[in-house]
Amino acid sequence: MTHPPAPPGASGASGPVRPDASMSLLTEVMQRPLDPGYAAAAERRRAAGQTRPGRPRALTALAALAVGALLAVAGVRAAAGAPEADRGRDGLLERVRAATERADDLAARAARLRASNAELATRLGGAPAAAAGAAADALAVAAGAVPVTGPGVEVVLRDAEPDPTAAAPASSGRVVDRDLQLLVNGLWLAGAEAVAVNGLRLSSLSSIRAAGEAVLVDYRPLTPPYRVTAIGDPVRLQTRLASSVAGRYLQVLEDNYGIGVQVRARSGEDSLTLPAAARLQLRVAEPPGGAGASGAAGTVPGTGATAGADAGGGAP
Amino acid sequence: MIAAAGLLVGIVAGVLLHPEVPVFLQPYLPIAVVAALDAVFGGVRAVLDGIFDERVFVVSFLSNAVVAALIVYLGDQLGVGSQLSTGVVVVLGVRIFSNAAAIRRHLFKA
Repeated sequence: MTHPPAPPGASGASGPVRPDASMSLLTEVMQRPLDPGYAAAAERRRAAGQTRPGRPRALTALAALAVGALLAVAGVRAAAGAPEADRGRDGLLERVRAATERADDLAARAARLRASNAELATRLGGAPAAAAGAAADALAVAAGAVPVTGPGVEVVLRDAEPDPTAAAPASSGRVVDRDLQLLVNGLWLAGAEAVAVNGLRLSSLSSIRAAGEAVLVDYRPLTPPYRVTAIGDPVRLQTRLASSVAGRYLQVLEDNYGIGVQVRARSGEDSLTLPAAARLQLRVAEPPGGAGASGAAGTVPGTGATAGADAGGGAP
Repeated sequence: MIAAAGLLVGIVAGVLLHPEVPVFLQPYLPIAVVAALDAVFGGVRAVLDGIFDERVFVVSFLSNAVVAALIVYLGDQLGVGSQLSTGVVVVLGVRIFSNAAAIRRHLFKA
């Protein structure tokens, strides 16, 4: 490499200028790939009278070892780097699963503790607390603080079957958050006492929203089909729902977009059980008998300590 | 023979031992590999040409790897690291191909 760039292949012919002289770099690279050092060393040996080149010895072995290690390390690293993206994705999925499981556990634990707290408070507080407790119990169903069982209706919404003849997958046949909002509001209006979507009990401050293509209830993603259950008189719920705006809306969804709507009465053996709403917390409390004294606007008068639903920060 | 044995031992050691490459050296690993391959092919061709010299082989291997890494490092500092890497790979790649062709001619007479 340290040799002067003699025109390759033209030993001693330094007379006429080569036509490709301006491309000497390329010709150098293309035509003299072998390190000139080898030729120089051979020349030196010939001058010194040696006929055979020295046998490869330890140094060569060492260099070859280094080359081999280099190749192996690079190969291992390349192999490890390729599915890095996949591994990252799997890791994230795993973490989502674990976090969801943990959230479920914690929610269940919070519900248990809340129940035992209520029981202890009743035992501790005597008659006034018991009265307040009774008042709170009356509101507990509406607040979603306790699980409820009873007859009701079940509405199942299914995404439309994808049309195989359509060129692109249409998104209009998909159940969106708005559909569920209208249905749930329709059920409340029809006289439902408790409503749940896919087993998630709704309180007065629950949110039904969309993130991307997923529908979230209280920030929990749902998977279709969406099963909306409402406790109440099944016949009355069904008739009032059918004649309401929500009922007509469902009819439109079914007729125009192919969304599967299935309304079914559930009573007797088949009656519904809805869990307590998650994420309830005490927001307003008044000392018993002091309802008039504080007179603060926005409190719930006359209920003493009562459970309010957690707004969760993002409820509309 | 001893060189081939060394190469094999090196590969096995690299696979088995999983040596951690320091982070600051990782960008130069691919370039070092290409430079090392260039030295190896040059050495094999020299052996076949009958002019192999141990000192030249070792020095060319080390200097190739170091110079290639240096060029890439310089390019990184100047903000043209990828272009200089491409240049190094092209030059060394051409040399590797020419040497491989010479080796092929020696071995297969074709």
